[in-house]
Amino acid sequence: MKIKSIELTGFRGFAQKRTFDLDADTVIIVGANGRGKTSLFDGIFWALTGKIPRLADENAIISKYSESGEAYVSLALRGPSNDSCIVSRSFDGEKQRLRLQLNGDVIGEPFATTRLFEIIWPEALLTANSVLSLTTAITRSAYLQQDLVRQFIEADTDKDRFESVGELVGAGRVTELQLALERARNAWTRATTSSEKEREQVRSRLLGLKDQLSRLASGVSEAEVNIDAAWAEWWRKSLQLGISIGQVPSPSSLEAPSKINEAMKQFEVIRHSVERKNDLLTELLSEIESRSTMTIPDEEVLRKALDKADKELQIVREQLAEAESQAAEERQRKVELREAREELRAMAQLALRHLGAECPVCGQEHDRLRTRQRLEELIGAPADESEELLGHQRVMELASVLKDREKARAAADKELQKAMKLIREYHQWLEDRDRRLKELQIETSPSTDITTSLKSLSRSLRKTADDIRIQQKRGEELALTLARASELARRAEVENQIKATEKEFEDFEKSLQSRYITSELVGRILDGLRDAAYFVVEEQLRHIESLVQHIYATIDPHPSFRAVRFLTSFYRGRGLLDTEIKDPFRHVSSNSPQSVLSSSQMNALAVSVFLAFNLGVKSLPIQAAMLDDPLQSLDDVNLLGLIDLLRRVRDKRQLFVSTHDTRFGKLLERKLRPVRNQRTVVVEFTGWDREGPTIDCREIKPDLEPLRISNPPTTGYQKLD
Amino acid sequence: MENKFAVTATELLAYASKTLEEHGYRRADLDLNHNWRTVNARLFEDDYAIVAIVVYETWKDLSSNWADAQALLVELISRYITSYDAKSWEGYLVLLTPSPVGKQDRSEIIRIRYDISRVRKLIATGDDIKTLEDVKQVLLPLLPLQVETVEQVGESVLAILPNLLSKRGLPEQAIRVVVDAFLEQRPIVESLHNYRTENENKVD
Repeated sequence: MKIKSIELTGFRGFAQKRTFDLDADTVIIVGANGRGKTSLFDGIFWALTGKIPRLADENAIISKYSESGEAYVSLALRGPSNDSCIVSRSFDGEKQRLRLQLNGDVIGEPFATTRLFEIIWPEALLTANSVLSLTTAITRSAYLQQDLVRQFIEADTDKDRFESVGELVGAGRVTELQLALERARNAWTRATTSSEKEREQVRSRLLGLKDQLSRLASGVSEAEVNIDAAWAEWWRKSLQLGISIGQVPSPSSLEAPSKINEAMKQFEVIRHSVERKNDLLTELLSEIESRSTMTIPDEEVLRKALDKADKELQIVREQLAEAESQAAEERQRKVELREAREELRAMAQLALRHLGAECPVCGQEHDRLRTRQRLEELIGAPADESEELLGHQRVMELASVLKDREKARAAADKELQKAMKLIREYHQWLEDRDRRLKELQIETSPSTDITTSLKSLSRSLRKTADDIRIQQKRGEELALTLARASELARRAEVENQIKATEKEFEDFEKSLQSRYITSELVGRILDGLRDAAYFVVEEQLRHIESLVQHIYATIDPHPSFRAVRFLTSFYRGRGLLDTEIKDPFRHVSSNSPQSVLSSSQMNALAVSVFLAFNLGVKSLPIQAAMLDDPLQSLDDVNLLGLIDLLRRVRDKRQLFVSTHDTRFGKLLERKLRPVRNQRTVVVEFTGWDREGPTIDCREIKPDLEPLRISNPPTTGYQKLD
Repeated sequence: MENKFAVTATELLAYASKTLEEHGYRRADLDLNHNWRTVNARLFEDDYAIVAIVVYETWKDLSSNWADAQALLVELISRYITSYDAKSWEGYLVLLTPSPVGKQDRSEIIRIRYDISRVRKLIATGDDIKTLEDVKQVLLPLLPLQVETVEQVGESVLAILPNLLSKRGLPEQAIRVVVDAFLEQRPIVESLHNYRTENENKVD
């Protein structure tokens, strides 16, 4: 890519729009300091990278006098096939916007940045910081900034130098390749591990199949498993016994095992049902038989006996009541007699105490002795108890009889109750029996002998159960035969599976062995790649070194230190780079050029190194060499040497060179004049105001017939003397 | 004394002339005046410059006569080119001698180099010229930059990797497969594996 033109508005020193025609082999930029020369270079740099590393504040790119408050740069580039690329970048103080126009097609963000990298420096896309990579590449090889001419040699460390050169020559791609290969190897290892697991699964499956094969029946003949006749017979009998299975399968069919299994289950259910029914029946029969020997009491007889006992009890109760009444009357009489006797005794005792010759009551004379005798008889007369004992005796006797009668009555009643309970229980059992018979689906009628029916049915049930048992046993035999037949088929199938699995396992083994070999090779390549970045840079530097030597010798800045070489070393996994100057004839050298060379000579060396990288790296972001005021501090010889060199550089690169010195400007115009079909443009910054620089752009007329002496022009030529 | 010099004045002149001619300079066979003929000199021209090569047998001759040679060159240029012509500023005087310079005269060499009042001088003595190739070093400021060097360097670093790593014992073609797969964004290890299995006997 070469630069065709640039338009700047609000950018750095360019407050208002300025457009420059830069479509030339050589662009000479002349102007006093502060008039915008560096801003013009910065404009090119910023359009390409979006950064100006030496400006800490990004807002510094916006002109203080920008009317829009924005910075805008549009850089037109031309490709090797005359492709057109216009890079337009703007910044409003907050956000940058990038727009590309490729042969008329417009590409905006977010694709513009990536597309721009693809066009000018694809290497950058492979690095962690693409913008930094691009800015480094440009500042090391395309744009030699005014204040940083000697930075590479003086200020950068040996490590920084190596890394920036590494970036420039694309050694980062080696690292990227290494990282990509490491990632790929990791993925490969994961896939290999996964494959190993699969192989183990295949191995496990193979072992399982072999184990299965060892357990499968062997030595069973086809004849042994021919069960067609037995199969048909079994199913006929089974259907008779109530098995419901739908269509009977053939013994060789796939569903045969499941059908027979289902039939066996049905048999189990039926047999269980029959046996249970028979158990119930047997139990019922046992009850009926035990009931048949039981005597049912006569309730009527017992009720009559109870009535009789009631009547007898009533009679005794009445007799007792009468006897008790008589005994009470007797006791009354006896009380009255005892009271009279007591009164007579008290009177006799009193009379005896007062007994005199005369009756104390009537005063009459009496036989005192007889009276006394009489009175003492009254006092000593005994009580009469005999009548009392007779009434009470009678009551006691009747009470005893009553008690007996009551017991007899209670016994009769108890007997009746017990009988009634038995009768109730019996009737309940009869109901229960009828219900159970009904449940057992046994028809009964008064004329039916239940016991006989039940016994007959029980025999039938037992026979059915026995038949089922036999059928089950045969069924099991058939199922076993079927299983053996199935195992025979399975065995053949497993043998085939083992063969296929063994083949699969072998394939896995081969594949894995091959993968291991590839892994080992990748490991060796990775080992090689780890140091390769260093060797690549070293290799590239050897090429560039001859170029820098060539360029340095072309300028010829020092009378004795006329050789330059790059010293590379590898320390702790990092490459280091120093620049060495050498006196080739005295074998004196220094890897610290600043300690040997003058400031002017150092500048010449720095420019030599810059130009060597500019010319030595084919895929530059832009095919241009931009040198911002490189002539400062150069003495006359080095100045002429450098300018002569630049004249040669422009055969290879579009050349941009600036100077703040008008005299140097004139020298550049003469030295870099165009010959034949070349084009040289001079941009002169003649002044500056708030709108921006005032500019005088002019084109130097090319020298179409540059040979004056050796091949003088055929027309118009004349010897001056 | 002369026998001690490895390169003769004639050889110097011949080689310098040949070098310039090989790099696009044309020899100017003009009707040079007597003074030119008396010195061992040649005149050349390309699109940019007019170059006079003057070879002296001894350093002493050189130091005594270089100013005359310069005067002659300036006079010659002025005869053919007007002072308004930019090329009139493009005179180069190449002063060569196979004779070494004593230490006491080294400063004289610097003085001559730095005297650019009329033309730029390129100067080399027996101290700088041990072989004929050293003459080319002296003429470098006048020669175009070597194109082949530039193109060689321009090779992609990944392209040189196979050869570079093969020197360290790795199979070159396998590295090439890895690089190609990386560039084409194909699975790298798989590509290498396929290549290796297809060429089982070629890769170790």
